[in-house]
Amino acid sequence: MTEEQYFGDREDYHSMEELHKAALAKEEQIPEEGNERGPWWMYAIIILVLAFGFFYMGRYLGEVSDRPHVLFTETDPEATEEEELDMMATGRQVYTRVCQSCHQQDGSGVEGAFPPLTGSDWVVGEPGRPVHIVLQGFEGQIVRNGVTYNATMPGFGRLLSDAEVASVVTYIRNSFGNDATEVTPDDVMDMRDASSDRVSTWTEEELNAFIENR
Amino acid sequence: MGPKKELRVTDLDRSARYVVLFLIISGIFWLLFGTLLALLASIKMHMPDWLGGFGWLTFGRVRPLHLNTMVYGWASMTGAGVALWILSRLLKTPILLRGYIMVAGLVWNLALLAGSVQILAGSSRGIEWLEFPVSTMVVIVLCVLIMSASVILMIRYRRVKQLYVSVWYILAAFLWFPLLGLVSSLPIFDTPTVQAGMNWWYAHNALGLWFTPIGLAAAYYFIPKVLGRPIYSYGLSLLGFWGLALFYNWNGFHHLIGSPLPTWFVTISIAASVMMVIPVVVVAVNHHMTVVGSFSAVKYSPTLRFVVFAAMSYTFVSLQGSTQALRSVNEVIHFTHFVVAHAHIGMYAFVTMMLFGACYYIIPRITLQEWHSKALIKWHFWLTAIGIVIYAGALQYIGLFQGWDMNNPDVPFTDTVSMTIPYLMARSMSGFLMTAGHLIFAWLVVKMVFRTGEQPDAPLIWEKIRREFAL
Amino acid sequence: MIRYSILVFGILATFLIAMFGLTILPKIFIDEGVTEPVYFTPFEVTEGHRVFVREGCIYCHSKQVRPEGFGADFERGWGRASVATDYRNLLPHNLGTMRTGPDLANIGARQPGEDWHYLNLYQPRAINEESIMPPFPWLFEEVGEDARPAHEGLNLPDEYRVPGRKILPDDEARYLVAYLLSLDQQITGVD
Repeated sequence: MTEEQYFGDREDYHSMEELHKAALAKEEQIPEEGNERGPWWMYAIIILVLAFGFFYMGRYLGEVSDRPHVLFTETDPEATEEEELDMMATGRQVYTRVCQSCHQQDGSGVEGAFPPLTGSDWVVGEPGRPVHIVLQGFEGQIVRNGVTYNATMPGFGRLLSDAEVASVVTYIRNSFGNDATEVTPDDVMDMRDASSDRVSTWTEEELNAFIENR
Repeated sequence: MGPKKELRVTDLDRSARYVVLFLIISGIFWLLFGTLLALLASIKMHMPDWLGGFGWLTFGRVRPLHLNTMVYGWASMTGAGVALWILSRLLKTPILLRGYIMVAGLVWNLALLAGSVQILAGSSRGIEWLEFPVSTMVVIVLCVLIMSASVILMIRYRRVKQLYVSVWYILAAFLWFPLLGLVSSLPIFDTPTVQAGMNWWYAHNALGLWFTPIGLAAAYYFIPKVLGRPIYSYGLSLLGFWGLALFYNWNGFHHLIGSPLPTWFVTISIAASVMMVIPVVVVAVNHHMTVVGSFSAVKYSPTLRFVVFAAMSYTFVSLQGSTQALRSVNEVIHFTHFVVAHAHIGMYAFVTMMLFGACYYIIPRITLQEWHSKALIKWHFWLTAIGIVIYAGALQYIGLFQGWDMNNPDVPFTDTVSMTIPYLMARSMSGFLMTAGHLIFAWLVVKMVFRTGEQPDAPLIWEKIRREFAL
Repeated sequence: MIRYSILVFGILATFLIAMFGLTILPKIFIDEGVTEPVYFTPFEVTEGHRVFVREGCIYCHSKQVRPEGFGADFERGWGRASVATDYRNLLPHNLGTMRTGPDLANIGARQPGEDWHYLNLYQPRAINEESIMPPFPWLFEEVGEDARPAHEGLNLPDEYRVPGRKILPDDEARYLVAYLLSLDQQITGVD
């Protein structure tokens, strides 16, 4: 059939609308449905999926309570046993998640906002300074490499364990071109005890006085 | 009632004209608006300082508004128009309560406008998929409820005996959505964790119980209609419909794996998500076996081309969704761009493409006008199809790596951001393609509906299918 | 032939049963554990939460920590697994589904530095060049260098500094930071 035959003689229609109406008249029929059964593998899929669904529900339902994370609370007690502490690796992890957002990945800080950890006497000098700054924080004006900084660093004593503080201080004392002695968790424990009555952040004067008095 | 007068298709389409056109054109307006917001949001993800000084254009306001205009503007309004038209055709009954529906459509548009201003001005409700303030949402739901009344009345006063499969889906959609909307507005869920559960039960069901049934109803109508062949199997239609009703309802909590909601609800949702494979495979077989042998018709029929693309996307996105729900997969892809792309395959490659296909069939019939350019329709198809494929491909590819790296604590978090930048740019590129497609579509509709410019003097497409397939 | 009554019944029954199962039932179970608020929420925190919601922070920052062994949330130091009581006070829930930026469930403990938050909100790239977080300058005000001598301006790096001006956090920025600092798992739900 050609277009002309299908629509009849084009001359019969005076407009597109009439043409459409003629065509629409052939659209009366509602779609019908056949009675096929479908391929066998479709039923195989249905059975497999049903079986998997009920198996999954039975296996992972956990308990009928308000508790979340039921499937993940049974931690292996062996895993939490004391492992040999790799100071640099742990320190790097702690640095990445706690310190890096201000002091940056390479320890260079943000000029004018957060002081650098590179080429700093405090970082590589007497370990008490970096440890106490990490524990209780620091505020007030300081000058590093000719740039003035005046930001407040909060203390992380509550967030970090002795081992974590020791690791991260060891890490910054031995990275970014720094080279200084290790700090052990026991050192940190002693220092934590020594400053246990201190709740506010340190200023430069207070910290220097505290370190000298020890 | 006396003996029912036999109504011709021409009468039905004429009576549907203003209601359906109003809903579709409103939808297209919101499509264009939502597309603009999408571009803004997409570009801002790799150029964060662009227009950075304007609070009302910040990413966190533009992105939710994009979702809301697309969902409650474009897809819901056009979807409702398409569904009502299909229903009128299938029941041989004119659309009832037309006046009320026109008013509802008007109010709906105003509610969307108000909601848009509210979100940009900062009074978002802050719940994903439910950002419009409760009052605005309730207005929209009431508008849909008027259409639901029309659907129920049309079925009550139908002039045919049998209820074709599309009717089941449309009835279900118009019963489910108002209930969903009302439940989501209830204050009884106002404790945070409980609200999170309600949130994802609602959001997943908005797709599964509102857009999916409308989309499937359209596929079930247009595929046999364009091809002039019966649907492969009534039994499979039944199985597919009841499978969806049974399993889709329970899917929502797979968005909450690892969250502080009780584990056993999450497990039930995961199992139900996997069982969604059943209705999806059944529907896919039903559609595929109907089309098989006449596949070349997609070359001639823009409707069939869009509808087949959409139906295949539905199968793909649903099977992908069932996989994503599994804990081991979810552990990687949750919280990444993979899920964003998945949502777009659902709402765009399936729902939106289906609605485009439906519009290409419906609008010439209710306006008795012809599309102005066959070439532009092809451009529309290829721009949007290639656009969404690039979108999904780029984001799902990088989403996997983003997820793997996020679960590797040795990779700094910043790296999981910077690695995505080239792919976010590719997403913006794909956005421009889809935008071009939408502009072409809107231009074609405007030219036809408002009869501007030179009218074509011969039908462009739809006679050709009849010639080939002797419908 | 499918009957209309069966159709309507089935459509409503499947919906209502699932609705009961996924909304009402969780509410019953969760509400049992979460009854009374255990701590007072200060005004600044409530207001800050409002700003947090308004600016759509949740579209990039989730606020839920997955349990140890599922993902690397714990190893990344984002905190312990979240529980229902962590969320008891403020609506909307803000659990989030995206981590374009890091999780914020325990940000108050992880990053307690106010200065850092102000700087990051005003111009994230002043701290991290690779950040794609939007800037929020409308939460700050720009005043002359000599205005309000009691208040220090933000410590911006030179490239973001306007000569002769200083940037001060507005009320909303202070509320938002107060809210962020309140996101501390040791203060919220302890059970």
